[in-house]
Amino acid sequence: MIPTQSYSFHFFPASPERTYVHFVDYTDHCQHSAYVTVDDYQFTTNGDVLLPSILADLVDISVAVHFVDRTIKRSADVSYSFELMIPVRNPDFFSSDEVGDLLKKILFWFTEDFWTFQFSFRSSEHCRHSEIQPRLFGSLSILGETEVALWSGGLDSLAGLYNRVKQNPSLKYVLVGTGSNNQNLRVQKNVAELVKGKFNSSIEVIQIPYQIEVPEVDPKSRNRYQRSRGFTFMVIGAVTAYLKGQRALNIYENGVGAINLPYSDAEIGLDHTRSVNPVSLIMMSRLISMAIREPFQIYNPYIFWTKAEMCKVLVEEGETELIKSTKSCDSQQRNKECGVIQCGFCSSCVLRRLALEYWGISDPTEYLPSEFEETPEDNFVRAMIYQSNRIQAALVGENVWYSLSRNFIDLERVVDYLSSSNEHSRSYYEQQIIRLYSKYCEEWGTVLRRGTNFLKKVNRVDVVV
Amino acid sequence: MADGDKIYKSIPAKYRKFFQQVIEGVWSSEDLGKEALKPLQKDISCYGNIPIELIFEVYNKFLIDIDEKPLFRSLTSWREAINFMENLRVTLQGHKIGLNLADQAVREEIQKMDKGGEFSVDILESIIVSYLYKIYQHNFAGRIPLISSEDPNFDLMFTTFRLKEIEPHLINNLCGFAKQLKYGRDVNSLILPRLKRSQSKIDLETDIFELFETGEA
Repeated sequence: MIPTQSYSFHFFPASPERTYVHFVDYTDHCQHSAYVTVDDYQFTTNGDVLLPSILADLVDISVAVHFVDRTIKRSADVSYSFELMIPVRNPDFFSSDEVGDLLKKILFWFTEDFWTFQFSFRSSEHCRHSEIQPRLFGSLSILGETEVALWSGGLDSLAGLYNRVKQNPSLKYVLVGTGSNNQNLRVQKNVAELVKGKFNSSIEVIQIPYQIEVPEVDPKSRNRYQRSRGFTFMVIGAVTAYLKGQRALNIYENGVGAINLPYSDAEIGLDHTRSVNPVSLIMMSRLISMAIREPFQIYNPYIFWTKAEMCKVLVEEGETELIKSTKSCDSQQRNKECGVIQCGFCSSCVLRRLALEYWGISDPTEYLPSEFEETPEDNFVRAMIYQSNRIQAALVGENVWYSLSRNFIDLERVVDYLSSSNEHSRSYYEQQIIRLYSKYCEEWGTVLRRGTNFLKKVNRVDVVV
Repeated sequence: MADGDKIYKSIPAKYRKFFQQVIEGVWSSEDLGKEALKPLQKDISCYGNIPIELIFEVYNKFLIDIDEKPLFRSLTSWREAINFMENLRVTLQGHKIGLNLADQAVREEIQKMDKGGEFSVDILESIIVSYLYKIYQHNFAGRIPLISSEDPNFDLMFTTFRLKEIEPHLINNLCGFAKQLKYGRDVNSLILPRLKRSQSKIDLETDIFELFETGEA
């Protein structure tokens, strides 16, 4: 029997926005305390309606989940057991089997840990301001049709928005940024300001930051792979969309990055994030729909686009400054000479470079110069080229879908979920995915033939399938 | 919104000796197919019995009839089998990697039957072999294309070729392990096949195609 690491977390509202957390690690019976703060001021100032108590509960639960995920460093081998005791306004709803089972299933999918919840009643003295404050001024949604989208400040967010605005300039766009990293929040704001300056169409930015303070735990011992982020961000995005009178949340993410297939046969499970995998979006849509008791959809309009296809419009319009302002990196480097800078070699940076270099433009992004790299990293480039070769080799034969999904079994699950939750048939989604990956391989082929700058570091692209 | 992919750039310590044997070329494919079992057995044991239990559960509930009565093939609800497994996963406390690999082995077998119309002679054994092979891929073979080895003997093309040669021998041996597990043997008490070594040296100078023609490889 594999020993399971167990933790319990007790959340106590200290004020409407601030929550005190007491937690116990049952392996050594160590006890810790922490604070979580959600700054939901912008829910208040921009909402068309007061924050319904059930959605306020969902926000509390989602931030609690991210707190746990971020605080507890995990071993790759073991699923952890987390017991969360959270006071909510609707304990009966969240304690029901239907909601409880879905919540457990979603969180297992995101984190592969076991989550159990005990919900107690949260008194009205700790209501959020957004639950009790009337709206201060009118918001955009009443002025016309509105599209609400999650806003990360990354290149996909920018390219996605740019494409949407070009296609539908009359729409109002509400961009929801969130997170606990101040630097990311600053990037979100900066990029949004630049885009707002560019278009006359109405773009509104709403940021719902949250803070996690764990004074007794060394920041270096935090969990590096916070796989629940997608869960938290989607809840906050969906709540904002609801407050804007919308029943859909958009996520602009290229299909290759969203599906995020393993590069080699060595990677398994959560080695690759499922943050915006189509399965995650469908599961989360079910949860939100259950909470608001009407259909709600979390939707990625670019699920069958490559990143290069998304970026085409930016390249054509010569938006180098806008591109440069975005951040894709998973592994930003802090350097005396350069400050905080994108690494240039993580999988997100490599995909970004591929997307831009495919169009033959000089990538304007500032990456960490190679002389500052502690260890020259070409691993992700090699991994991604290897994966592209594997995909290319699978895109053959009479039954291309069978061949492709034999090699990447995760694709079957994606198509199962898409076809059971949307209007199109299985074969439609299969064809779309085949097209997506054919295009992706073609992009790698083009860039490799051209032998562009960022590939020069790779002295062993002799990848073998 | 990616948040950090993980890749494997090195070979676990327990596979180093086997890695050396593969890249040096002293051993025949048949012998290497047996040598691989030594580190692999440790991983199988480390992942425990729960992944095997997952396979058994899905098999007994959904696939056993297909093995015993082929007419049941058309009546099987593949989607239901997958749903059953997904729900089971949320309740099973076992080695995370082992369970993921077992989950994938079941999915692949189901897909083979559902989409490819291919039915193994012994479905349970086929899934267990696939699970065991996945352990080998996760911990060793799947890592080879991406490792950063400074070993002067390491040549990616040659090593990849050798691994392809070893594969049928290894799978043959894994069938032996799968039979033991199928009949209820614990993962900690698997019996290795007898290792009898031949000594034909294969190195970078060896004409591998000639070995194939003469049947030595």
